[in-house]
Amino acid sequence: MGEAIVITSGKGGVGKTTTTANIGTSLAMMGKRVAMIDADIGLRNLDVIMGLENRIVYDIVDVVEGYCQLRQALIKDKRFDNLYLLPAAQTKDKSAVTPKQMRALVEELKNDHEFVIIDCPAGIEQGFRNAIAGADRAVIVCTPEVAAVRDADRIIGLLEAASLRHPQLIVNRVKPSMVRRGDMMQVNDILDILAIDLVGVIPDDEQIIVSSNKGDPAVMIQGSRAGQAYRNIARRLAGENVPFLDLEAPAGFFSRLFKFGGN
Amino acid sequence: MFSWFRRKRADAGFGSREQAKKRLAIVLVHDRAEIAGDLVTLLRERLRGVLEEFVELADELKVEMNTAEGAAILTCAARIKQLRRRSSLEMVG
Repeated sequence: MGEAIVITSGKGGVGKTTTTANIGTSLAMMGKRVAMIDADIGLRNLDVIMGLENRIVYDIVDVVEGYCQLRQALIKDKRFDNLYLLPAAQTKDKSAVTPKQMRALVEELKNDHEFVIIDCPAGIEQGFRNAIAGADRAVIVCTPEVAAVRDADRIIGLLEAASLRHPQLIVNRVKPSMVRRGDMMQVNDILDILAIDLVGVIPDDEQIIVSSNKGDPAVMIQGSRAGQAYRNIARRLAGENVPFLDLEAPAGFFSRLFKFGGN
Repeated sequence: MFSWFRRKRADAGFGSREQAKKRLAIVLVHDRAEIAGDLVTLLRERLRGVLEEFVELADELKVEMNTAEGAAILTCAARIKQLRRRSSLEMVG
C-alpha cells in the first residue's frame, strides 16, 4: 500500500507543478513505483512539464465518468517505466470531480504504486478540496515573498481542518545574492512565521526554465542545483535522513542560510 | 569591503527583508484572528446546543479565544437559570 502526497501552495505560480514533476521523477529514479496526478482540471500543465503532452488519450474526468479504465488513462513515462501520469482534463471545470471520487481514485493508485504525488491547483476552492481529499500527507511550496507566505499560512489552517496535520514546507526560488544583501527573507524567517517543518530549499535556477522548455524535469540535468535540491527532497520524503544542501555558493552564506537546528 | 557595507546595511534593517517580516507578522495576526472568529461563532452554537440539553441558560453563552505564551486558550462562561429535570433529560437522551 503506497502513500499519497499532495503538493499544494494556495498562491499560484510558486512552482507546484515543477515540484510535483521533479519529486515524482526523482522518486522513480530511486526505483520507486510512482504515479503523479494532475488535479488542476481545466488548466493542465504537468503533462507539458513532463514532456508527455503528445501521449494523452484519456484523462482523469474520463476515468471518473466511466469512459475508460484507470489504467487506460495512465500515461507511462518515456524515460522511466515505473513512473506514470494521470493527466487532468483540459475542457472540463473543477466540479467535474468530487472529493469522494478523488479519494477512490487515489486509493486505487496506492494499490500499485509506492508513491502517489498529487499536483494541487492554486486557490482554496473545490479544486483544492479535491486534490487534498485522498492525500495522506501534504507538502507546501512557498517562495520567499510576502504574498506566498501569507497564502501558505492559510493553507496550513485549511489542511489542519481537513485532518492533514504536520505539512512540510519547500522554500522555492531562493536567491542567495538577495538574501545576502538583506533584500529577501531567509528560510529561517519563513519557518519561524509559519511554524512548520522544512523538507527542502530550492535555489533559484535558470535550468528550471530550460528543463520546462525541453519537457525534461531538472532532476535529470546533472549540473542543475535545483535538480540536486529536488533529488534530496525526494530522498527525505522516502524516509532517508539527508543533510540540507551546502550549495557551492559564496563562502559563509549557505552556512548561515542552511543553519537549522539538528539538521 | 563592499560586502561589509552590505552586511551593515542589512543588519541595520534597511534591506526589504525586515519590512517583509514585519508586514507579514501584522497581516497574519489579522488573517488568523478572522478565521478564529468564524470558528468561535460555530463553537458557541454547538456548545449552547449541548449545554441546553442539561441546563437552562440565564443569558447568552460567552465563548472567547485568546492566546497566551504561544498557546490558544478557550474560555467559556455560562450563567445558568436552572438544571433540567431528570425526566426531561431522559426525553432528550
